[in-house]
Amino acid sequence: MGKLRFALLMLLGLASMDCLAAPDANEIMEKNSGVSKVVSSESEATITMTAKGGGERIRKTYTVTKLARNGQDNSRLSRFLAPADVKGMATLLVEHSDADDDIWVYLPSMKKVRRLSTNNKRDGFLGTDLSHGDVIGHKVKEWKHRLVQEEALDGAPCYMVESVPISTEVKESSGYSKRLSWVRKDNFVAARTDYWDEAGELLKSVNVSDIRLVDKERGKWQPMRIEAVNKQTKHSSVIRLDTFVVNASLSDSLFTPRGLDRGE
Amino acid sequence: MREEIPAQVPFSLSRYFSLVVRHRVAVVMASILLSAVMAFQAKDLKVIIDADKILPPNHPYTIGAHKISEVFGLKYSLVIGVTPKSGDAYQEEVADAVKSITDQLAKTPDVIPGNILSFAAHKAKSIQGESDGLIVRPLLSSRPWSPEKLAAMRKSIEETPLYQHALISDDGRTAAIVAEYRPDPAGFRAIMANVEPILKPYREHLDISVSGHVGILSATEKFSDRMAVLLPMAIIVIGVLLYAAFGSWQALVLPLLTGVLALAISTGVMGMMGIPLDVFNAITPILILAVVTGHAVQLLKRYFDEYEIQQATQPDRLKASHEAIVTSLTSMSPITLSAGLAAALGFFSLTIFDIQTVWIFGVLTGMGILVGLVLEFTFMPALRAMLPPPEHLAQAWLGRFLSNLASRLGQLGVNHPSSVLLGAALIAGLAVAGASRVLVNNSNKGNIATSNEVRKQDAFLNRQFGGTNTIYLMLDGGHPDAVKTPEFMNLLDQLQREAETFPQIGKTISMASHVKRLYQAFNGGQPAFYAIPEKKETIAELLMLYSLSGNPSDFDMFVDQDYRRASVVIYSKSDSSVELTPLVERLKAVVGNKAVLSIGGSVPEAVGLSEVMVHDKLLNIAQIIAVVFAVAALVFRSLAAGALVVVPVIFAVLVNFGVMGVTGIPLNIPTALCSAMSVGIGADYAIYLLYRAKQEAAQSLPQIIANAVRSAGAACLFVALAIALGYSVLMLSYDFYPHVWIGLMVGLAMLVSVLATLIVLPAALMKFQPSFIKGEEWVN
Repeated sequence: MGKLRFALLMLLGLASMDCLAAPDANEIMEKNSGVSKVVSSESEATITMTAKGGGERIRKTYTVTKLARNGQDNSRLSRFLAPADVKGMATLLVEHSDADDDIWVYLPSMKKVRRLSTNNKRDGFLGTDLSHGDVIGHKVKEWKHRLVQEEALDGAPCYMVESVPISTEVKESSGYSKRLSWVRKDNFVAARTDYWDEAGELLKSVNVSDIRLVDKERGKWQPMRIEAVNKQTKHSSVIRLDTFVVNASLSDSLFTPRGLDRGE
Repeated sequence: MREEIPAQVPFSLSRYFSLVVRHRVAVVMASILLSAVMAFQAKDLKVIIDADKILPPNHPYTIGAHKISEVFGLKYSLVIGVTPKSGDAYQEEVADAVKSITDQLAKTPDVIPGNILSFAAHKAKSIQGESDGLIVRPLLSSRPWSPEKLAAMRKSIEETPLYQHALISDDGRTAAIVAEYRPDPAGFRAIMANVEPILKPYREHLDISVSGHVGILSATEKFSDRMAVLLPMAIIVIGVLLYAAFGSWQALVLPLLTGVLALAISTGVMGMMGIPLDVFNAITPILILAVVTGHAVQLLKRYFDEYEIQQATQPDRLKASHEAIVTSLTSMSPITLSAGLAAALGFFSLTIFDIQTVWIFGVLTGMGILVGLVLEFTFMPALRAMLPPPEHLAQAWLGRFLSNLASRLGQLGVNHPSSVLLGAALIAGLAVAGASRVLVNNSNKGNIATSNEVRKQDAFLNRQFGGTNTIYLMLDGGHPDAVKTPEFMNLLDQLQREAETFPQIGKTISMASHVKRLYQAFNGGQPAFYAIPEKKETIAELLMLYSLSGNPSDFDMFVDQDYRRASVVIYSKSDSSVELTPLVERLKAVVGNKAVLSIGGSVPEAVGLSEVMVHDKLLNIAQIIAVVFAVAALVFRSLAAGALVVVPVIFAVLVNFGVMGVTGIPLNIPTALCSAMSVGIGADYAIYLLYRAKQEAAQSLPQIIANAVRSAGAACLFVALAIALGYSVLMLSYDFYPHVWIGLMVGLAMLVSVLATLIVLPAALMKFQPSFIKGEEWVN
């Protein structure tokens, strides 16, 4: 009996030592989920979307974000600067961890604000190859994570984590049957993420670069360039942050539907 | 009677045939070996429809279709209907099937994944306007599909004009899945081979219907497989005829074997060159077989005549036979060569046409005839020399009957030339009147009988939805963002409304449909706002608004990246060029110079084909007639002879068109090929007859004609009968009209041209007494 207890203790000990050697996959993804959530930000971005044939659509946006008190939900106001025919058009996205997000849109030519109800996290973000879910962040708890291996990506050591949805609902609402993330060991930013569609086929690959430490105090990092390539349609989108300022002082009233038609 | 070997035939010809007889074993072995090698090459010969090459590459619709496919991925549509055994389509089983089929189709090769339409497609959204907002959700929510969720989907579909007659039928019974495919090098069957396994599991519990361009053309390719049965049947029919005419196994085997070898070699060359057979050319092998066998019969008949003469002086039967081979072939070579070359040249001349099916027909037939000629001068005499000489020479009942018939017919022309010519002119006049009613109509589904399952499914889907055939329009505004202007949007809208005034058109979709729907939804769903906004900015903002809740490729089918070009997709219940040519013309007029218009899709393809057909077909026939005229004039060194040779041919073509006009058989690719065939083959008869007449050294013109008709005319009758009956097996190809039409029309053309040769030609000779007949051979 004593021997058995000893053996069990040894096993547990080895197991815990193993845990020390590499963090748990859930832990990695939790850290990854919070690494780019800044208190507030103000940025300008150029979005370039390229179709298979090479035709491009370019959009420029001005975006402000503010994190809610729960430290989870973001409010995001984006205003189009270009193309000229949609200049002034604005969207306001208010995330709710436990409910559908609220989206409002403002159409300057009609001077009307409308609430846009959509429960679809799989739809494109501002019409790009990134989905709303990719931008907001997939809830860590809704996915089962597994550390596949450790691997360097462009010279940076990474954890390669495989994530699969815990339920059919999550699979259908996200549109993914699997994600594979290369999470950098130094800053926990996912330098690359591959996505598989519901049928199990590789759908797209998202690569980020020019990762900057934007809030030293809180340890927040922001990639300045995000490129998403749809492997099936050969469509691609590049979001380039031209400016990015964190902890800007932003009034809460800016993040209300009424704030949408201001600053046009 | 026996005629002398004409003086102009070089002596070397008989030396050549003696050589063939001497080295008979080597020649036969070499021929068989070559045929076997070539037959092996023919294994790669494919029967496919390359719809891209049906129209000439420089035709505006070919260019248009290519551009539209490049920009919007709109090419060949596949329409699938899913109907439950009972109840409506708003039930879990149907939702599950539609979702699963939609997802799986997106993974099939050649599909354009972003262009699949169904209520389960990601881009199928429910957009509802409320007083303060806009609700955008996928039409089909996520599993499990409760009756409430499906009822909500029904409400959305019924409230969205864009989805009506498109995603679910008006009676609510059938759900549609429409996919767009790129052409597959292996044909449309290759596409369906990937689709069928996806549909199979659902067929047990649900009614699955398939149609659209892909469905119909795949079925058409399958019908062509019947040639594997029809060709052996034609061989048997011709074999039976040979036996009935000559009453000997040798007379059956020799010509037929020559025909089969010619077929093996010519199809082998096609296989080697990688030229595919299309559905319409799949019937060409019967033509080669019949023509080569026919020529071989002419030669064999002359051999029998010669052998009879040789036997009188040569007691050694084998030597007599060899002598007869050399003599008969030496005497027949010039005419066989002339007739064969005239036909081959006529067919080869078709290669200048850029309709692929026409030039493949020209190459294959021309080559088959040439290969046949070579075999008739090598393999056939060598094998003939290897076989024991025939035991008895009497013609069998059919041979005797045809000889008598030919003589009687010839006498008609000789005895009553004026009446015959008048009668012929009358018939020609009637034929012209009938021909004026010929309908030029190309329709892929019109080739298949309405009673066939393929047509039934198509008819069902056309009843349930907007239409299984497509017209794709692409409008180019000339500069980026042109599409966003109200003028451009109104033009798209106007084109849709114009198209919808035609009864065949059941559904149209364009960016204008989407913009109107968004404008209405943004304005609380008020019906007054189901319109094109007045400001360009509003249109741009609405499009951006949609992109906020959609995927980047959602509108790829309707607008290009920089909003310079937009498409209008028109679904039609018919693909008949006759019915839809006015629509295409009307759409062109509506666009005018407001934008650059390109047109593609299955309907314009048929319309374009009909345009080309009228012009090119007449030119095509005229061209073969010209070649035949030139060769005949050269051979006989007389323009009058050239003219006389083409008379029966023109007569046959006129009667063919007349019958088509009266019976309502349309002029389309298969029937057009028939007329080309009749011209190429029909000329043979007149050439043989005139040559024989020229060789005759009788006392008077009537005697010359009588002799020529009795010998050469009988053989012509036999050949015409062989071709006509060989082709007639095609009429057994139930439900597939191109086979039936060709079986009927070729038979008719052969009959008319041989009758014209045997009756009208003698009458014309009597009436005009051309000098080339009254040459030095005519003693009197």
